[in-house]
Amino acid sequence: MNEATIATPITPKQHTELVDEKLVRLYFITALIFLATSMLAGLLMAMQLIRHNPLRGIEFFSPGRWRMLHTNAVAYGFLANGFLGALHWAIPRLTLQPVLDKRLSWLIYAAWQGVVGATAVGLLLGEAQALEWGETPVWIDPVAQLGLLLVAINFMTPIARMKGPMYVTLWYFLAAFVWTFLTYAMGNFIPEYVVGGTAAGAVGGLFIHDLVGLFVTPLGWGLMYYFVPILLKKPIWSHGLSLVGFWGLAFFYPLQGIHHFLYTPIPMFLQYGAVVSTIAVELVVTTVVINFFGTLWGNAGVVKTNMPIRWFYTGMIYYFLTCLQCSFQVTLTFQKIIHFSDWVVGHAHMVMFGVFSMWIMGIMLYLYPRMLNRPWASPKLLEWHYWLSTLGVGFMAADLILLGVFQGWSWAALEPWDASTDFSYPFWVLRVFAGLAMFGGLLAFLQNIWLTTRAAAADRLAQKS
Amino acid sequence: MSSTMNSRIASSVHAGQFTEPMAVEITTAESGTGESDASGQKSGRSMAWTITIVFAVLILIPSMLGFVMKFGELMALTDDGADGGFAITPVVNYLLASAGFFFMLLWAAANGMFRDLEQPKHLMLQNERELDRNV
Amino acid sequence: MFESKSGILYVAGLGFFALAFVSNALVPALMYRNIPEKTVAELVTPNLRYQFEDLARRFPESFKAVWGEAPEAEAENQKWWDEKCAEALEYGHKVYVAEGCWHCHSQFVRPVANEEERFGPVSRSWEYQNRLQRPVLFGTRRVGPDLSREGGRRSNDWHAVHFFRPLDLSAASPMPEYPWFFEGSPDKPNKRGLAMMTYVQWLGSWLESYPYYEAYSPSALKKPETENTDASDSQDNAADASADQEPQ
Repeated sequence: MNEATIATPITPKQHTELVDEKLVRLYFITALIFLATSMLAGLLMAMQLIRHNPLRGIEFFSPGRWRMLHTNAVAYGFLANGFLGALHWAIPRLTLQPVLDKRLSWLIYAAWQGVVGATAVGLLLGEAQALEWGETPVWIDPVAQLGLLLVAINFMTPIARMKGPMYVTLWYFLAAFVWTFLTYAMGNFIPEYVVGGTAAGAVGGLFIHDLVGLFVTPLGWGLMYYFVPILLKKPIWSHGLSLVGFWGLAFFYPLQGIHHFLYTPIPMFLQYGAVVSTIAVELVVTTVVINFFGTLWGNAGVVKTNMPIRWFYTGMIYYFLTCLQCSFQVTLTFQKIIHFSDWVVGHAHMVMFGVFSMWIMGIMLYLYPRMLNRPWASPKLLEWHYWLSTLGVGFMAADLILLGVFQGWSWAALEPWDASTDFSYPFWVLRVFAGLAMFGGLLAFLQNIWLTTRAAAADRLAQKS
Repeated sequence: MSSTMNSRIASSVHAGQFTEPMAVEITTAESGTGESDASGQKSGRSMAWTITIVFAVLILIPSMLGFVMKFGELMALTDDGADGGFAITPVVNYLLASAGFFFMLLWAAANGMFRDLEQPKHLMLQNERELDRNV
Repeated sequence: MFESKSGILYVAGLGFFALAFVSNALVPALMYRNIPEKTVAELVTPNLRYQFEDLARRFPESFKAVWGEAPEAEAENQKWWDEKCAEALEYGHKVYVAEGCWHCHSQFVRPVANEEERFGPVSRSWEYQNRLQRPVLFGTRRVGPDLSREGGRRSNDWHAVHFFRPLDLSAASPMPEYPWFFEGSPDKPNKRGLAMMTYVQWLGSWLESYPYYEAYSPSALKKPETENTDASDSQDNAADASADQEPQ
């Protein structure tokens, strides 16, 4: 791009030449469309469980296939698009360098939507790959891999070009681009083409785990370290402590893959190692959470008025809860009972919706009106969005975690299998309502976006005339 | 509700017609924190101490208890005849590995890697302010 | 080193990832490298052949429409059945994966929580060293029971009706219906239906305890007397074949 802009950070930079706001907005809208799709897919599966599937017996609405769509649309459609949008804002502003090439950014956008769309179609046509969270049909994998490479090149260039000491956000981002690329390659190709059987299970466990730990988590925390100080108008409590968090995550997080398959034929000493490093990472998590609450200390009142901050910190509370839960869940004692039960499903929803989706929502909430140059049309809808989402996911997680314990005990007590589906029924019904609340929250948000965008368009029209 | 929301948005929207309210917001925010520091510092600090102590007790007591128990078990194991020494082998391994990390830490500190650790967080906010001013 | 960009890139980005990959993925891969991976054709046991031939007897028209007819000559006949059985097994695996069955049914029996009582022998590594466990189908959730010892437990008729409409056989089953495995009714399975039944009957067919019932006792299992001779042959062969398996 323009080499002239590469200079010391003191040179005044124009926001407009750094950030492509149109692209950021487009990423956000696309992400929300995928989130809506994913939620509908989840709803379909939930309705199937309570035997009220309105679309039963239709091949293209098979709940098994939409269940895969549900998880994949969240990971690659919502989280990835939401993160990419936020990165297009954060990285150029942090480095004071534009991305490698803005046309490349648009190409990546288009290619990535192609990948996600093709995944959805492939899954619905019955082309899945037997790898959890990597069900993407095998013929799409290389394209997605190439896309991730381009993303890494596009974003790592400004980081490489910047001068001076790096802020912790960029530490996370720099590592995350490498990790995401490697994780995707490892998970999608090795168990399919290189090793089979039990060893492939170990790789698969590492893949699902790293997808959360080395793609979603570092990008999520990196963005939090960036947006929270800006919104609170004060620096993070301790930059040194944030680096402890970074190195702790980098070292301990990748070592835990096997904890997804405890008591499998994978060698026991490897299972022990995974358990120990999981508990170690909970300590690291605690330092990160302490750092953020140390930053908030003295300004806690802003969570009432500042919506993005409220979303961010709600997400952090859920993060702490989910990590605390994990450090119990991962022990062999708990695994005996709760493995294979709805406990795990509750845990997954608390992480993916309660934490990372909340952070992305908060970022959208902050950036979207800023880009439109206009406040949110309806503060009331903002409140509805927040409360429906927060209470919905909290309720769903509590419901499923409790149910998981009951299921585990019932199985271990050798009750007939049907008993476990019978007493799950009321819990599953409650789960549908919790899911509907979360979906309602999203609808409130979409309505608000629509109203705000329309009002902004009217503003522009008025200015012209 | 809506008025607080609007002022919040106004403070976060740094562009176009919102430039002015933002500037006002920043100055009031800064003077505001100054005042609250004077009055609320003492109670805030004692509160912080209370929370710290409560957490310390909650965490330390069970973990110390667990550690002492496990340590006792290990001691009992090592006393157990000629093979007892093998119980210490993994512990020694962990200690050696931890010592390696500890020396790496000292080495990093000696090489100045912990100098100006907090500088980037201030630079980042400064850059943001610059960028918003330049719009 | 640790605070520079290249330090982050090499130490955290590549180094730690590689460390985890070596310890968590490469170590098990090396440990199991001596257990050969079976091809689909090698997975066709007499147990499975029995079930596959049973499909031909129960659904003769559907079977003929999908797999054709067996040649008369004895040598060719055996080869034909083995080939078609392997083909059905592989296709069944594809359908099993495509329908996401593995998200509600696990395929491994743990040594805890009384699972040995309920499902059968605890899973061993060598059971997973085959093409149909690539990627491995350990599973993630048990809405329905574990299936790794499901083969032979229920008849093909039962499976046909159950796939068509689970609620007809299991009063409160949350399992979806799969009418697209059939041409309109449970007695007319199409290729996917036949293949799925083959696949499900294969699960656990490599074990000595096949078919494994809950609270299994050997005396309860009698050799089918009314069936023709090759059925009882396959029962005998089953015992022989499972004795051949090298125990882990």
